Amino acid sequence: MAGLFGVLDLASRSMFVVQSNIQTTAHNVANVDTPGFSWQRTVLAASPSIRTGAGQIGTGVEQLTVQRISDQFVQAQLVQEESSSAAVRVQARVLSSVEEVLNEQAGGGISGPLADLFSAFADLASATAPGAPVERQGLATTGRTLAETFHGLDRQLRDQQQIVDGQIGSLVPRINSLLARIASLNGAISNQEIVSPANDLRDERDRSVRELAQLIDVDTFEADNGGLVVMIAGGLTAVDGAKARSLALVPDPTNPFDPSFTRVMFDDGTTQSDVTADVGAGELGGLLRARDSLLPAAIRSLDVLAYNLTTSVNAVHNAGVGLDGSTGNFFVPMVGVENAARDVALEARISSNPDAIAAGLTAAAGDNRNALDLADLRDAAAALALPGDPPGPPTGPTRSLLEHASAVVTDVGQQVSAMNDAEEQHVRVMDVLESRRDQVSGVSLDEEMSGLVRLQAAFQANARVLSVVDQLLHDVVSLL
Amino acid sequence: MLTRVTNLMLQRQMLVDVDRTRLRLARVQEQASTGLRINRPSDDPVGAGEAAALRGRLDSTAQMGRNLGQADVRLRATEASLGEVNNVLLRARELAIQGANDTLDAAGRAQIAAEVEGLHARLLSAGNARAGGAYLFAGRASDASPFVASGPFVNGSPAPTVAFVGDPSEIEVEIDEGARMASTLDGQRVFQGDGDGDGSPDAGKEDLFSVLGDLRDALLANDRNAVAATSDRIESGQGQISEELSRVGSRTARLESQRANLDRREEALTTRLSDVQDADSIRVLSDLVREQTALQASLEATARVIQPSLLDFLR
Repeated sequence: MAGLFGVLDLASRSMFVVQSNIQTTAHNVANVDTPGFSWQRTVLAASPSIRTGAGQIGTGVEQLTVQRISDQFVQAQLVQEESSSAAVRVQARVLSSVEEVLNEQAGGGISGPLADLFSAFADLASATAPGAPVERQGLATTGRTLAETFHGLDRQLRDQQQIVDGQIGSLVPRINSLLARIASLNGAISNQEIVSPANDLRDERDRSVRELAQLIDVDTFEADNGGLVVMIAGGLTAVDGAKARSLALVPDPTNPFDPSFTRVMFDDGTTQSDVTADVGAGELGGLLRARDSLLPAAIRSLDVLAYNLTTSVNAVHNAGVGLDGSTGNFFVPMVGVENAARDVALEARISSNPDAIAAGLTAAAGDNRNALDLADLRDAAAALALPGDPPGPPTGPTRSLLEHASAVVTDVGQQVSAMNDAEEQHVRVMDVLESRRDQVSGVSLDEEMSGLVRLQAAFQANARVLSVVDQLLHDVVSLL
Repeated sequence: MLTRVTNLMLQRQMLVDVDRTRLRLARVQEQASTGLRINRPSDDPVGAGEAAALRGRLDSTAQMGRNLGQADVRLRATEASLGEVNNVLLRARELAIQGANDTLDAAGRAQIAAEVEGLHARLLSAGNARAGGAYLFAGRASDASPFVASGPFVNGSPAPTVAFVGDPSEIEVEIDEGARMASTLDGQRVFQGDGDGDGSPDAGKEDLFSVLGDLRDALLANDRNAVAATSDRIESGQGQISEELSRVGSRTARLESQRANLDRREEALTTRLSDVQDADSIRVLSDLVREQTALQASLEATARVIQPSLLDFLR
């Protein structure tokens, strides 16, 4: 039965709905710059009408819920993209620093000192003065400089490796705390959603998942109760409902570079399993790849250069005789390719007594035949010995040492350039996805303002209804 | 298709655009300040590889140039010594002809013999000539005199013999990748006509020291026929020396042509290196201006776009 009191009630309820609408608008406006905030809107419906003999009479408006506008498809793509672009980003960063270490355009690198050694051999060969004391001294110094350059470059690359390992160490606690946070948000969301959608908590959970995705590869799906199941490292369930697992780091005594380098373990509550090889993306994936594959490749390519230099120079040097009649190696011979750049050194007898340098095939002061052969090594191409070569002839590509030195740099340059392109690509994709997310979930101030104007009018109209009803009631009361 | 344009979108788009323009500007600025198109291998891996190879070849060309310089010093000094030997032989031949003259008496021959002794000493010092501290004709044993006389000239005894104690070899120098050239002469062959190292002069060659020694002995012995006989030997010795001189000459010629060759190569390599790694300054400057304009435009557009919203028009 319609009546003035009913209308009074209807008008006041609709004013309440308008107010709540205004609050949601204010909430949107307040969060216009909040990262990860999703635009919200109140969902309204006409309240159930009353059936009378004269037809259905409306009873006003009611607020069904506050809806969060988000696109789960875009969110899932963003999560994927965060992981792969973070992995590329850290690898590009590490590779560029390798490139800086080896950069020859800026006058650094190994080719210069290596060419200097061959020049010193050539100077010894063409020297006029009997015994070439100046050239011998110069050659010994050049040899030492070359060895020190190898040591310096090797050290810088290994320092990079240490830094990367340190970063891996600091990532794991961050991953663990994010996993715990997602789990606790899961708990809060399923509790609250018994009553109504937990819009802002979901925003925060999406944000945490994206943050996690930057650190490690993540797969998610939503369970029926609103809880998010998070899988990391290629499918290990790390968060299920309000329960979170964690990662741990253990030192790897078998690591060929440093036994304190760690492996990543997944702790499922009872046992730990090694997942180092399974972490595919995210900063952790990128850093692991940098530490265990990119940097080792760079270090080993210097090793290959140092080892092959040592063996080829020694082979020729051994054929000759020093001014003092002695014979022997020029560089300290190497056991294997591994760590050759770290260990390469001039023989002590050469370093302390340059007369031991075998310039000739006899001890004659003017004999330069062996020095000529040593200088010829500059352009001599031979198959290079590689790390892990089986006994027998070397298996590497046939190159001269200088060619190999510049190939090392060019290879790194190629990798960096490819990695930069990939990073650029990822940035563009990320841009598109972020734009799409903002398009769907971002706050538009124009939209909010026009809504606000509308709401203001609605509020005024409802107030008007209220005042008319008040007037009518007043009229009724005055009749009594 | 865009249905909503939100504030965050505008802001992000503007930041992305400005960042990109700034990045391009930074790259162009680096090229402008270093003058290089390739500042690190990743700027152009292929070009960087070629630049490294070119620098290596330039380096090796410079080394060959230094080697040539050393060879040049030795060849010039050798030429000078051989010239001296030629003068000695010329005078010796004059003296031999003079000494073979019927009208000369024993005292006159003894006087000529004294001058021949002086020539012998000059020949010895030419054989022991040095360049840069090294004995030119000692072969690889370049730190000691290659020719040693058995003693001084003593009146009444035969002339001292001269022994070759050096190394019968020629020192080679690398004048091009894989090409070597001898830069000294074998002293034993030049002065003693012994090119095969058997200890005695080869057919048609002369031991110049013993020729002069024999001349002096013949003069002292007042043996006109023996004196006349040495005259022919001296002549063949002159032929021997001019043969060596032409050897030096051909080596010097080869050295000069190689030097010209290296100069041309260096120029070609330098030009190519510059093509590969240097920035084209005009292009860099125009790029710089373009990127600066782009940055300004994008900042200005942003400033205009981002300001107005409905808020500005509501009272």
